[in-house]
Amino acid sequence: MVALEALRAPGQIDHVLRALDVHALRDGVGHRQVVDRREVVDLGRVGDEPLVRGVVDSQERVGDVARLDGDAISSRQGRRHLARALGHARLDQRDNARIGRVREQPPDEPCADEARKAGDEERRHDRRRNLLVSSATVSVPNTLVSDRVFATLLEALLSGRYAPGEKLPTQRRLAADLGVTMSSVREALKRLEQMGLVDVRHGSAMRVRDWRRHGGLDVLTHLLFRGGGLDAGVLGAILEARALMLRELAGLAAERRSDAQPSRSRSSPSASQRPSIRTTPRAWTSRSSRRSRRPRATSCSS
Amino acid sequence: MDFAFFTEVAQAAGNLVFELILNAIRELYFAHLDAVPVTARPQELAPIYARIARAIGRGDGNRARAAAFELASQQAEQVGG
Repeated sequence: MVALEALRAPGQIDHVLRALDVHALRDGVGHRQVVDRREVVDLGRVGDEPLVRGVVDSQERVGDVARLDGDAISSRQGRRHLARALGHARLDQRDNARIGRVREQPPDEPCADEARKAGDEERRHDRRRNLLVSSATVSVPNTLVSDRVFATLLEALLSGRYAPGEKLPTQRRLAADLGVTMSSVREALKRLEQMGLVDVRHGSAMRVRDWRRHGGLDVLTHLLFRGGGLDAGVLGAILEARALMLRELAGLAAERRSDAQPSRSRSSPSASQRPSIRTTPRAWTSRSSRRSRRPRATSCSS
Repeated sequence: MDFAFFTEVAQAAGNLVFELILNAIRELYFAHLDAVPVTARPQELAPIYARIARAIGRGDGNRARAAAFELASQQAEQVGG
């Protein structure tokens, strides 16, 4: 058994599913379900160990624990899917070392060199598609490259593809994977650091911080529009918080208001334009928009 | 209009944190007005704004709270519906 952290290519879980659906399941039937608005795939267990279990994000990538018993893959088709999930044209000794004992490859597989070339091309395509898809889902129009890198990495952090505490790939690796310059990656990482989402320490690896613990309100925008659409759950949370906040604001305003605010407002140019909390909102706000910046009332009547 | 109104209310409330949170939410809405039409059709909700204003003017915290919550709830329904 081995953790499959390496499985991050788009569609990889589909390959794992296909690989295992054929012959691998030893008990139970693989299924997918939604838990806490996240799609979870659970393909059964071997004893107490999960065979494969992971949180699948919108781009079909496993962002959580995924374990696989390589020995369970016995069919040629299953092996092919597993190889594709690992980003290789075919399973080789290196994969055997990574995932444990895998049965011998049947002899009628395509030529190794040819297959490897096809695999390389596919991986390049996947990387490119990864960047394009990620950029599209966060709705970044014609922007700077660093903005797109930022959006891509942010999505990876928010989706859990990079878990809290996990090391991020090096800047050089990220730049290569995304097909951008190092400076674009540096700039994007700087923004993520300022948002409190990654921990960058000189001389050591960058680590992912838990955005629920360290993120600020600026994370909300990205959460709200993740996946290219409006996230109803996040929107609901915002509206709920807004309703509670406005309720309390209005109450405090009523209880704390003093003559300071009306008198401050009366200092406006004419009496007919006198802003007052008692006037109708339309007139009140239209005057408000004409007013220049004024000092804020801070006195409390209580 | 909605945000101008509540910015003034927040200033009257005298709580800096509320003001800054409101600013952050405002930025979010203004960037995506079409997708999050919380402030759409304000004329339909004008009577509630007026009730809030009157309650604040009278210093009636309970009525101000109730009206503000009703307003926010109706806005949320607009978005959901």
